[in-house]
Amino acid sequence: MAKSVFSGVRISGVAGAVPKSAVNNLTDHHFCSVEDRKKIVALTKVASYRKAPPEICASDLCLAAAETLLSGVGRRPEEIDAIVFATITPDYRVPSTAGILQHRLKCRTTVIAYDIGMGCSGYVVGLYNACSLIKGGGLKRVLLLSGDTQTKLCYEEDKNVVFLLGDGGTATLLEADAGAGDIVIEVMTDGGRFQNLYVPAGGFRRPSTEATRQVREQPDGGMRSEDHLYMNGMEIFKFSATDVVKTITSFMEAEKLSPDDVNHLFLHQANGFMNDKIAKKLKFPPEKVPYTIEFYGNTGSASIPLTMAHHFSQKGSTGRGRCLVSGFGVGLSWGVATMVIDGVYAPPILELA
Amino acid sequence: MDEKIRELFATLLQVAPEGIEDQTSPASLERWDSMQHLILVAGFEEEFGVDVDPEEAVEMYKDFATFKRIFLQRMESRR
Repeated sequence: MAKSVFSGVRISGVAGAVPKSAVNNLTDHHFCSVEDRKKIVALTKVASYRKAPPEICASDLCLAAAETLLSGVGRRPEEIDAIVFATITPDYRVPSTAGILQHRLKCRTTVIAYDIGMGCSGYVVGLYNACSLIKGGGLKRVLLLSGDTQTKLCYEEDKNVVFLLGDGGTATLLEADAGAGDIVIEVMTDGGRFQNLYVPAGGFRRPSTEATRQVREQPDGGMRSEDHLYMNGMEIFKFSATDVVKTITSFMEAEKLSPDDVNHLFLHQANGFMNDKIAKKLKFPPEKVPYTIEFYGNTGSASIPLTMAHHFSQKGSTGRGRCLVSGFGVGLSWGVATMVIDGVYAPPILELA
Repeated sequence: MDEKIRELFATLLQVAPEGIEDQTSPASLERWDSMQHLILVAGFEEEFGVDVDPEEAVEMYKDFATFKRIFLQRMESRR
């Protein structure tokens, strides 16, 4: 079972960046009727989200977040030992974007830098990696970058995804600290269901061709090409409402945590209706479950840290208390983690033009 | 009650109620996709003041007879 307890790792800061350009779900998406747009916004709570222009990648957003974070916590790039970049929208198919970020951030060439090809669970899997590098590898400081520009994966008239997915990038600094409390992380994987949320063509199993790039009505009735992201909405809802809830529930039981013991439940910002259902099932009061989905949408691997950064920056630029975080999605992959944070630096969310 | 459910179902989906029969399913009614299904569930919850469990919401995405049966069970359990 991929459940581990990491003692002596501290989260010292989290920062986020989004593109300046916003999409308004009520006034844009003219392929959908006004009535439908209103209903979708009321259901999903995504009133708007940020969309990166062609020249901005997830790495650019993460870079901006990382520079702000390092300067805010008073650390120099040379003090970083590892860069872990969780994303499903890297700069290139080859090489790993984390290496390019090592150079752009002006970190030493002695860092270990690699990508994790994970989406909505990417932050939790990234935390697992970062903690492992510190505890198992003896590193002092790991920069966890977590971000996606998912709008680039979507066909602009696929209403299953285009009302939900937005772009964002984040940076989280994890440091060795003997005095820090435990970070407990559990990660789950079911690759048997990967086809419920995936891009069918464009990889090496099924390379992109003129035929796969052609936008047409797909077997499920949706309009898109096979190079675009496909989501089986009901299966993903079912997965989130059952597997994810069960995992969080059993995790909380094992860790002897009740909603009373937790100050902040940071859920992957999937969609408003689904997250409300999950929080209700877990018996969390709304005031303990921060949302950013209203204005950033579902930002994939960025959604948890972006929500943390936004929430803590609103509370005076520092975060405190017990956090429970859960990411779930592409893979299918899901995970849950808990940690007590104390004075996490969180600057206001940056906007990139 | 059956008729009220049919009327609301059709109104929320913006289709004619006459076209809604017990065997009507997401496969036979193009408008009834996953997004519209969650809009349906949320609409029924609001109209009748009940909470549908996520597992029930998933089960309801089969055909109109199942949608109606599970929703009525949920209404019954509230009493």
